[in-house]
Amino acid sequence: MTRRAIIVGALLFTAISIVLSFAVVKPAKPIIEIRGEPLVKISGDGGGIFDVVILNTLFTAWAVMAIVLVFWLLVARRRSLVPSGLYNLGEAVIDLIDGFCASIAGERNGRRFLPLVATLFIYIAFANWLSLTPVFNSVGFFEPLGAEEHEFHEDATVFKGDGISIISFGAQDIEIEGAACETLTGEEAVHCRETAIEHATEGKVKEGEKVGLLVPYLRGINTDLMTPASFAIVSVLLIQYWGITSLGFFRYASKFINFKGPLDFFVGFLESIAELAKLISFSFRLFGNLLAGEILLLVMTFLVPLVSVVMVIFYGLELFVGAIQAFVFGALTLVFASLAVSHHGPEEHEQAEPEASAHH
Amino acid sequence: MTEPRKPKLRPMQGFPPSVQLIGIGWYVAICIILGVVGGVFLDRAVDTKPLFTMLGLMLGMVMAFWGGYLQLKEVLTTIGSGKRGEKQ
Amino acid sequence: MVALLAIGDEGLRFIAASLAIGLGALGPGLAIGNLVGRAMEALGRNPEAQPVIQTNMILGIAFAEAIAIYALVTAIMIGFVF
Repeated sequence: MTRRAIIVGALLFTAISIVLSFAVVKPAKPIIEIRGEPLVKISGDGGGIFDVVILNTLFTAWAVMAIVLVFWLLVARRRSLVPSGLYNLGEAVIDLIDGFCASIAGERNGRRFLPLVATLFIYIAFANWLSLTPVFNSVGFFEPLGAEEHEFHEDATVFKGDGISIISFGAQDIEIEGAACETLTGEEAVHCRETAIEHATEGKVKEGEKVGLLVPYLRGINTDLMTPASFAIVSVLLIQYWGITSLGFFRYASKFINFKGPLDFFVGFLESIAELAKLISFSFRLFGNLLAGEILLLVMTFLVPLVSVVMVIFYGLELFVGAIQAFVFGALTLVFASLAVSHHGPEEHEQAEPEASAHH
Repeated sequence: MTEPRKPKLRPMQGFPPSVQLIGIGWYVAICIILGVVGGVFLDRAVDTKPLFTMLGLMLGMVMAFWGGYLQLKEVLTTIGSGKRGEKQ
Repeated sequence: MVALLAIGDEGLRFIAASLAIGLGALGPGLAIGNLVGRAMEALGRNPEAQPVIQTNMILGIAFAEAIAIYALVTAIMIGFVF
């Protein structure tokens, strides 16, 4: 085959696919939900604060934990029938992270910080990469559109009624004007939403079809704010713990509450604000990157559906961003921890040196 | 290694690596879809709603990635030996 | 005034979300460009220190990008949640 024939064939295939995707295979728009959706409702319906539900991100977190545990248990069994390739992989990864910790925090402290940093890096990297596999965000159950507060969504799709509910060719997207009903409460709100739903779905829903949306069983865990926030809370609490056990409670507290003078007091106050800001910045950095990546991938995939060449570029970007965010989370935890256990200021160095060897 | 017991099936041997990669993509997608469809059918028969679907999903995923990994190793060794033999 | 009334609620929401991410990405863009430029300069001056420079550059980029991510999350919340 000549090169020209291949290029012409590829262009023709692209053109035909674009035409097919807009005319024949009209896929539905992806419906983007910011919050995690409940899979099992133990008490309440997922709307209030104290409702106990199992979200799909929680279920995915359990699945990712199981996968990570199985993988690293297989790595750690070196004296059995498992081939030695996995053990080399595990050793290389842990060696890399250990060298990184030692290079930033010093020998002794590096070994102390290694478990948290390695866990954060490995778990977040696994979770981010697993959320790019085909099973995520695609298989789930059908949630019908209702008029109650927790069942109401602004966008929905029309599903075929029986058989396996797949979003079929030529599926209709339905947009419901729910904005007018937000100021009402109680019965009036339900009635208002019902009329809005009827108004939006008239003529578009045939016999045996249902209106609702797909709630996926598996959803990337860092797209829900709770997971990055929990990582951030653990990191910040452990940093404080390490600082207190290294320096002693009063010396560590004197970084934040310092009565030596007005300027020192102000600096200490700013330091404590910075500690709280670490919570927010850790969680929002991971959450924002991953959520934006998921929305970007969904939108790009369904933009021109059969010709997903553009999506491949963003897929590569998401692979890269997932790994980088995991590395950045671990590295920033390490840097802040090594700052927290260090004695600050050159005027304290003479007294600090003999005490440092006595500590731990 | 000892002598091979039977020759390995290599259905895509003559094709260039790009065509072999198309095969891997379709294989992964079909494995996952068959796993999910099988799970849903078992759910319809036994009426346990999400259990068999998820098991089918997991099984489909494991088969897809394991088979995909084996095929990818094939493709990578083809590319590697090709590079060492002649400049492609 | 009449033009503002004609835009309506949904239009203002779109304008707010676009402004949030558009203006919010200016600062981090300049910051990351500056940072990487200085890192390249330092790398050219001392190529042996490449791992140290690269690691610290990635950390600095993460700090600067976090600001852009705050703006992005605000834009997404305006667009989808409020």
